Amino acid sequence: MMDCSEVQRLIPAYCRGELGDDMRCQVEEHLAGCPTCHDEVDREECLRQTLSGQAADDPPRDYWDGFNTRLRSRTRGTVGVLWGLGCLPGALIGLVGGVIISTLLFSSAFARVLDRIGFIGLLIVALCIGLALRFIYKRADRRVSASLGEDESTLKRLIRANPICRAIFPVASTIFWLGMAAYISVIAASHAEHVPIMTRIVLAILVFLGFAVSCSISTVRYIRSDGGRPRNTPISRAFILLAFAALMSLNLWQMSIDDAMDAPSKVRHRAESVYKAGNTRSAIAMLRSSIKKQPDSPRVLECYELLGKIYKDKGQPVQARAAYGEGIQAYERLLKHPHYNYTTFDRGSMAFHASELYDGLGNERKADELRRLNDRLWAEPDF
Amino acid sequence: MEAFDALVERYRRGIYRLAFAMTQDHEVADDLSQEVFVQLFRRIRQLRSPESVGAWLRRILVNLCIKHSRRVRHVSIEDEGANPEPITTDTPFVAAEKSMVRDRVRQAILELDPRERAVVLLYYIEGLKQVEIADVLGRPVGTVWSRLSSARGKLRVRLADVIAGTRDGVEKA
Repeated sequence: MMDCSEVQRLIPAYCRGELGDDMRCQVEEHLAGCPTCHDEVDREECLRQTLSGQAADDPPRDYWDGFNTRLRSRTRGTVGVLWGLGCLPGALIGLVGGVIISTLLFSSAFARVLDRIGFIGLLIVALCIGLALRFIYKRADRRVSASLGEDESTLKRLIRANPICRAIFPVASTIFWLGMAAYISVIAASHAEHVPIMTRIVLAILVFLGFAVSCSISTVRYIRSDGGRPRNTPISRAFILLAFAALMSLNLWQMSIDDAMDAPSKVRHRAESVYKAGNTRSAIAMLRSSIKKQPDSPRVLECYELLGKIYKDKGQPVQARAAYGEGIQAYERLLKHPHYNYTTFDRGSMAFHASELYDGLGNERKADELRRLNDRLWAEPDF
Repeated sequence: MEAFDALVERYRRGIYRLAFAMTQDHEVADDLSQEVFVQLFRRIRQLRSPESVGAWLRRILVNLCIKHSRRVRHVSIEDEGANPEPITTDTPFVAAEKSMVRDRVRQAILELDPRERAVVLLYYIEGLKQVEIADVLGRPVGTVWSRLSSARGKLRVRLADVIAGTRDGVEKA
């Protein structure tokens, strides 16, 4: 037989019908002979009825419309802080990945592969890598979608799958884009060899920054969203445009300098054809005009060389010596006050043509000296 | 639909109602409900048994409500006027009487210690068993029992006339 304290402990559960049959019978047996406990049951029942009618009211109908939006803005702030803390290792991974990719792309092994597979082959390989990354991302995304079932057990899969989906794309895209940005900027800077060095550095940095910042914005935006695809924003697009603008200006600048520098060389070839066709006067006029138009090009020495040769062939030694002499003066002036950023090739070519000019003047010692200089420059690695 | 949204969609209604019952303030209930899901978002990877996500969310909410109550010592439901009015089909007289009873009960619950208030709401309004409440609060069943017992005693004293009215109603019926 139960005592009063035991029964009173069980009364709330008894009133809610939560007791098992045995226990309920024992309680009822005690209640039949105990008015105090019976009264306690009445009071508990009244309290239960009073309280159970007090379920909280529903909020206004339109309340839930804004709930998720407000929640999203709060979770974004949270992710922003987490991303802020996590961006340093992310940036380091990206930089290391970029250096590795750049090193691989500049290696002789890659050059051999490129020779073998060609540019189209390279594009196909890049496409395959892109498709593989997309496949991994899609697979992770499908796992999340598959987890959105109604039963509780799917939540476990959801929690496991979500971090994979969230982490793989940002990391892959950060490494890929920073690597590509480093590669493109280094290639562009080394290709634009005649552009002044400081301009090249500044433009190459702009190219790198443009791609890197754009990639970072897309990555942060992707992480802040709860999945889906990485999308560009107007700001990230502006940075991509900046990168392309810097890239184009570097290339256009280089092309315009190349055109200006190569102009005397082209005129020289045309003048040589005209001279061989028997039109000496026109050939001389073409060469003189080119010398006047492009006095700062290192290729102008080729014009002086042909001019001296034509005068020599015509039996005019004084004019020939004058032409060779002017050529040597131009060579010394160009060396002292270079108008363009000379590459090793330019310096070698200038030394070679200057040696021909000295030959014309009969100065064998100086001509040999310049030929040796040319040989030395030929031996330099970046020639 | 995204994964996190699915969880929010499933639990937000119950969480809001409990938050409102605990605080009797729409603005605070909204803020605390949002905070519960922010915590879920931050710590979802710590959740080892997804079956207990509902209990986990309630535990976060109760802890937040207790913290909130420590900051705002005592609030009377007359102090706030921004709470949504329930939709009713009763006559004005019956509605006024019900509203008065409701306010008395809510005020009595609000005056309880936050821990006792949580136990009372989970037991009488949410309909949880004592074992389930112990799971939500992370406390032994004995503690839940003693809090429930203490809260019950206080409510009987404070709501003596309301309970007597209910008893009359029951007897008449």
